[in-house]
Amino acid sequence: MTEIRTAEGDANSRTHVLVVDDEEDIRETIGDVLLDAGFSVILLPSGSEAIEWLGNCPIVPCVILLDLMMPRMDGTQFMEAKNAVAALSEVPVIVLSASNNVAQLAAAIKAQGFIRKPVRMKDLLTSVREHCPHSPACEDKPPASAVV
Amino acid sequence: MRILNVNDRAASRYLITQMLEQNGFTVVEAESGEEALAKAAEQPDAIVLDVKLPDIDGYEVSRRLKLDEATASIPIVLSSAAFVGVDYRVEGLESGADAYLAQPFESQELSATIRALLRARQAEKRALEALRLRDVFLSTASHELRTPLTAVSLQAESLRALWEEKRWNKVPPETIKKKLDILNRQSEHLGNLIDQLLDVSRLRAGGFHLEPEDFDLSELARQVVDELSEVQERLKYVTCVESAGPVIGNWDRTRMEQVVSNLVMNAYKYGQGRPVTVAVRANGDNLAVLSVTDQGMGIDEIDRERIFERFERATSDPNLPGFGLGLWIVRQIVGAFGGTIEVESSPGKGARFTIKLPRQGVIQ
Repeated sequence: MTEIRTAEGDANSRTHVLVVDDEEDIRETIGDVLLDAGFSVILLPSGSEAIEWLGNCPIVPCVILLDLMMPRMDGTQFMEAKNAVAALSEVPVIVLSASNNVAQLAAAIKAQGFIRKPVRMKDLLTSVREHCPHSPACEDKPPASAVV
Repeated sequence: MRILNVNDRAASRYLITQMLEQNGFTVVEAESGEEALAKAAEQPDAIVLDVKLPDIDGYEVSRRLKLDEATASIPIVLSSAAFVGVDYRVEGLESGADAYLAQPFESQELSATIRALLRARQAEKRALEALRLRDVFLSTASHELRTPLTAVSLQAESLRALWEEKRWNKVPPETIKKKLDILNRQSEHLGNLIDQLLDVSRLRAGGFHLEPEDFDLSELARQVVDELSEVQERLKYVTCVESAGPVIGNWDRTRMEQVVSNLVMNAYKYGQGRPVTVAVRANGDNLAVLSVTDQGMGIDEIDRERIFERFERATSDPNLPGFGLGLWIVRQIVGAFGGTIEVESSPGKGARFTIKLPRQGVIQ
């Protein structure tokens, strides 16, 4: 299930965005949009898999987009597990949710931001760029390609 | 039923308590307005309140109880031996009391009045509960609809950006195909959710159109399971259909597809990835039996009736999405053909839903 896709010419680990969402189509769609905007993406279906993956991997993402409707590990557990890994404790988390009370959900787990589904492409990119200042500029879009 | 009896005179208080107890009520007593207000906070089912009290009179006690949200819905019967004229009775009702009984009154009249008020309160409670369920449902429904909408709107925007920036030809064709596949799948999913919503209003309005025809239920079950192959692959479910041979009956094909599909999707939702079995058999000449068995989380005994109600789900786990309509719809359809649905389960080991249908559809 783990997929890393790198935008062409990107050797900069500071532009990796980790997307955690149990709905494959949503994960893929957000991945598509970010990849197209020049980010590299890591797509994972659950919080526990994300923690496991992050624990074994040299890549530190610049931001984590976290869907809160996930089986097996809830948002609080995810934040605790993430903060327990020294290299990850500073990585900001943006909560993605279709809930009406997404702002409270994000505040409850002390996330750095939130995005309410459905989200406009522009707003998604703005939120991600805020946390990934080293990312490619808007006008500088390389063609999307997938390298696993 | 617990009734608060408020009266400052011991003799009257005793008499009314006797009347209430004879009629099967439990009684709590209070001797003043202050005491009545304090004891009303303990939520009695109704209050019998004397008008003339030494501290705060009955009218004022009524007014305060009705202004306080916590006590507003407790029915109040004002009563008085001294204030029996029309003006007093009107003032009593205007102050918020639900009934006014002038003394002397008979024990039967008092208890019938209280029972009538309790019936009205019961109806009010049911209406409020229905409203609450509707609100929960609306919030679940909007959540469910937003998720596929996220994929649809982002993919559409992304395709539009490719077009506007004239980058069509630089994108590999398989990327475009993937985008279109997601758009297709998710818009179909949105359509299904909306169909479910419409089914609810149709079923509730009784406008339930059936077109019975003869067909083989085993064949239909196999076909429904085949059509779900994409879901099985995605969710990694193995599903096996067991049947010894054709089970022909006279039912509505589309509705029976919906029954099987809802039961199987329900098994996938709660089945924790372990194999699901659909079994079809005939029970004598008159009955067809179809069961769907999963090996998932199971259903606690107290939830086994509730899960067939509208907007109810086996779990309050927000990680398992759903409208809470699937099983309700199944029961309505099965019921329309004179059939029944039952569930057996051992929590932690799975659940089996069994429907029994008369083979010659007795349309209800």
